[in-house]
Amino acid sequence: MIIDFFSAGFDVFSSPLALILTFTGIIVGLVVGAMPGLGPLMGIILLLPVAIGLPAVAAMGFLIAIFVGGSCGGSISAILLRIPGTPLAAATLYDGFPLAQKGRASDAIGIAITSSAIGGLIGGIVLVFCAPILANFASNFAPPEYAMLAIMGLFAIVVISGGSVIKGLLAGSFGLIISTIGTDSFSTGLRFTFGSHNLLNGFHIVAVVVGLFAISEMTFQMLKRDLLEIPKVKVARPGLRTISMTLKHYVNLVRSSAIGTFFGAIPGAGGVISSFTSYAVAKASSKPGEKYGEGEEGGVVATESANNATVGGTLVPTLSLGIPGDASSAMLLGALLILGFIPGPAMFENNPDVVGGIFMVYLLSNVFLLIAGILATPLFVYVLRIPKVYLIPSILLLCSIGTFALQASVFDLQVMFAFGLIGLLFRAANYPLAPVVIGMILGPILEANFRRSLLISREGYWIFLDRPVSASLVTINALLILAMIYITIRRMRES
Amino acid sequence: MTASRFLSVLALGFFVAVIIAVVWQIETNFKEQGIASGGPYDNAASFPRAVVFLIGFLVLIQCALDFIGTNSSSKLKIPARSDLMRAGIMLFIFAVYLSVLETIGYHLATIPMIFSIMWICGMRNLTLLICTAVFVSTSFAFVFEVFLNVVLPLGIWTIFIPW
Repeated sequence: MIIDFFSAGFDVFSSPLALILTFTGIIVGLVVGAMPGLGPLMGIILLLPVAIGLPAVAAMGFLIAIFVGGSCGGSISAILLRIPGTPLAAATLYDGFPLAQKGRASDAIGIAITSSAIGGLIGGIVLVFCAPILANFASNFAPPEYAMLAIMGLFAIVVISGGSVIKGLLAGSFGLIISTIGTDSFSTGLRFTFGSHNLLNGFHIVAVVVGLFAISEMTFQMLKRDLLEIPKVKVARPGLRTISMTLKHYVNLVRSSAIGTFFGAIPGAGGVISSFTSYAVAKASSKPGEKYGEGEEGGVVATESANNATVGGTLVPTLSLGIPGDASSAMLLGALLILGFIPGPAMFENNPDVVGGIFMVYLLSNVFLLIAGILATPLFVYVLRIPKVYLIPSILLLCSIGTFALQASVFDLQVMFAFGLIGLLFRAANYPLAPVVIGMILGPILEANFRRSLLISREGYWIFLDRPVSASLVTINALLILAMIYITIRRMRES
Repeated sequence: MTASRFLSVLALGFFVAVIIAVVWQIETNFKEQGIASGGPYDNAASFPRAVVFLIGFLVLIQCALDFIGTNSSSKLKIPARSDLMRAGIMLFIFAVYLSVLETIGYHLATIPMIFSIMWICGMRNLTLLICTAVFVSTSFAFVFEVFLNVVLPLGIWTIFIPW
């Protein structure tokens, strides 16, 4: 069965365009990951308008490679500058920076890249084996199961991702409301269009996401006073010997990758939780004489293998169920939808070439990460020296052209700017942005399946409890609600 | 009122505005179209109505939490006035850029936008400012127009570079 996917996807995967874009995606991912304030999500958002004009597998290869490269790139600035390029690399600081202080910056970066690549490959193996099994299981799902699954995806992200549960739910609900704008697919009535033909299909998700994340981030960057500063970074040149240095920690590598993949597969958990957990586990299982926190190679191996293995894990529910694991995979899911594919069991059945192609570009991107990461590290170090004064207008311009290029529409630019202001308000008031995107993507799935369930039901809402899988999901959702109440009460008591 | 409390009230006000807009639309436009009630097939208002009910409930809880002082944004570090001004001017320049883009075209609008944002970032080297603005604007246009076949806004004077 797995071989079928690989053989079906080999042709689209092996096209020169797909291979070149996967390699380019790794370079772009490493660059955006290394730059503090950007990261894989921002990289995917900024280049989504470029990707959606390409063939499906080439586009997904490009975006997945940005995700893979971006998840690793943050370690470069964490090790050299003591500033994690992304939150994913925050745990890498503990041992990466002390290693650099000992004069072993090149080794630390080499170990981080090798661990990321191997962790990503282990996550990829899990993806290749588990996603078809999960999709096969989900092929028996009917509208009630999908409706409950969509609610579970939204709740899980709010519960696990930290921060205020109420604010997370409010942000997610806002995403759900945004998703209802446009023509209703059942009654063909117009909802919240305010007489504008631009709103007949709702807001373009890329315009919304670019505004929410990129415009608000650039505005926050403008508040800082280091806009003209050129960070002082020494050139690091990791060699191939760092591969053998990493492989010496094989137990740590496999264990941390397994932790990363597991957390990746749970919607909402993501790379930050997995990297800190695997670091804690590695520290707890350390041998006498290993000093974690003072420049231990094992610390870098644990965090970096875990956060890249998370990428493979997060693609499992994204591809097989259509439920994104985090904001980055939500963007990948959005890209697939724009490209005309609906992730879920039907995609595994009807488009095995695309599924197989995605499996292969994901595995290849981790191989490219190892090659490009080790050979091109001096380039990424040079990128770290670019002052923000050049980056901010360039990113704003990329946002504008990219959003305009979607439909050659000035309205999309206005939407982008308006959501930039909303993103600013949300960030300033400590509302998470990821649930808005998840809500926007899960909204149509939830509404359509909820209404379909009621249409086929003879007993109204009891249909959700009549079916065993749906009833199980209702139970999980009830438990998640209890968890939200518990978290809120606990925080009230703490404060 | 502290800045964090003000932002919290502003955000909650935003959600209240969303509720009002949704309810108003359901009561007017949806009813006119005949999609505000009925069974699951015809009732296009059922889902938005349920979501705004949830938003309303959550806003009330958040208000209560803010009232009793459980406010996670209370640790907000307020930026200096000059930093706020810089970010505000950047947003203003960007808004002006987006509003004139279609009228005066990509090339005439983009170069001043990049120049102005770099200026407010503190760069004062005129040669570097002009060269960077022209280089960034032109290189982005080249990539999008040549490789991605995007026709950037030409403006009323139909300005384009024949690559």
